[in-house]
Amino acid sequence: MKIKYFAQISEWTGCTQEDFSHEEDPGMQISVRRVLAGLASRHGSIFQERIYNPASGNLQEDVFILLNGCHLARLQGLDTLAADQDVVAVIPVTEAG
Amino acid sequence: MKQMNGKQTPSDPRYSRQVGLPEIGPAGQLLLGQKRVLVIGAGGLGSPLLFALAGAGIGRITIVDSDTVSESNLNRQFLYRSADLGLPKARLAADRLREYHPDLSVVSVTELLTDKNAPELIASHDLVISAVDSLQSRLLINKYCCRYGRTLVDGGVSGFSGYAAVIEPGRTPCYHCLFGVRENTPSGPSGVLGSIAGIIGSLEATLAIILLLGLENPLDGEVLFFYAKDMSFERLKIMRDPDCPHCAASGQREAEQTK
Repeated sequence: MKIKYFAQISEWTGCTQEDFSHEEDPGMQISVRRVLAGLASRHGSIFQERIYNPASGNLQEDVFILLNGCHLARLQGLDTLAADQDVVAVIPVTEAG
Repeated sequence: MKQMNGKQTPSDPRYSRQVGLPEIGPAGQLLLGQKRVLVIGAGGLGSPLLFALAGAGIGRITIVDSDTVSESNLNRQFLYRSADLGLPKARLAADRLREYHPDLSVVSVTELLTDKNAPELIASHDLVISAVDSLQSRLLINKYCCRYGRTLVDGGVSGFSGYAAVIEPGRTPCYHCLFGVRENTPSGPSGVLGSIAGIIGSLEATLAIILLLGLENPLDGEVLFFYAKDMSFERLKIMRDPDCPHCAASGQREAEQTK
């Protein structure tokens, strides 16, 4: 699947987008939680501190995620299953004026 | 002659640079002069967008802001000066716009936008621009824009980044579809580079003018994200929530109207 990072998140990950797939079976669906855990492992401490920490299982409060343009909270949260053709967007909260 | 029956005319030399654009012309300028725009928030986003709307000749601008000027505003809210500290933003902003363009009709509302005053304010304008600084305010504005079918131009900033979006109730995803279900709310004001508010506020004004002219919505259901540190603009398609408590009903109303 395609992971897209917006604004400062792309700086933390060092890329604006990257691919991710199930380790054993790329065609298999995988929860967004496991995707994030895999990405945290790939990117190390900065991802864990600023986006998602697998130990706590929580997203940082100033980050939200869309799966194919749909907010995860409208789906099954981090337990939502994502498939290989899906797009996961990781977006910073931007609400000052 | 700059005015005719209280309305501006396209022959005003102030507009000569934009009347020459084929997308505007005298008819478009006349149209802009007839439009009523509600701007909610006269802060970092509101400063550039209010001047841009006034410069474009929007006939009537209503400014809603219950806040007063504080020192921390002055890095980006160039409507205000050091001598304005403690004074109400909406009133000052209206005064500054009248100084800039005396022929405009500018109204200030120094009350907080609430469920009580939002319906009348939103329903009585052609287009609404959100330049506020909280999720709750955006959700309130979105709710009534969906209810009254008013197009909403929204924007937000944080750090070196910002976004702009256009919500056409019943046609595009609304603010609630995108952000309304978020579980977490960051605490405290976030830092922002002043010029980022200038960029996003200018984008909001540009989107508003395009829509008021009747041109196609350039975003059409996408959110535009800007990040200054790599000077990138990225668009992201957002899906409408078919069960959205706000815009799903707008869609039904629109479908019924077109039957």
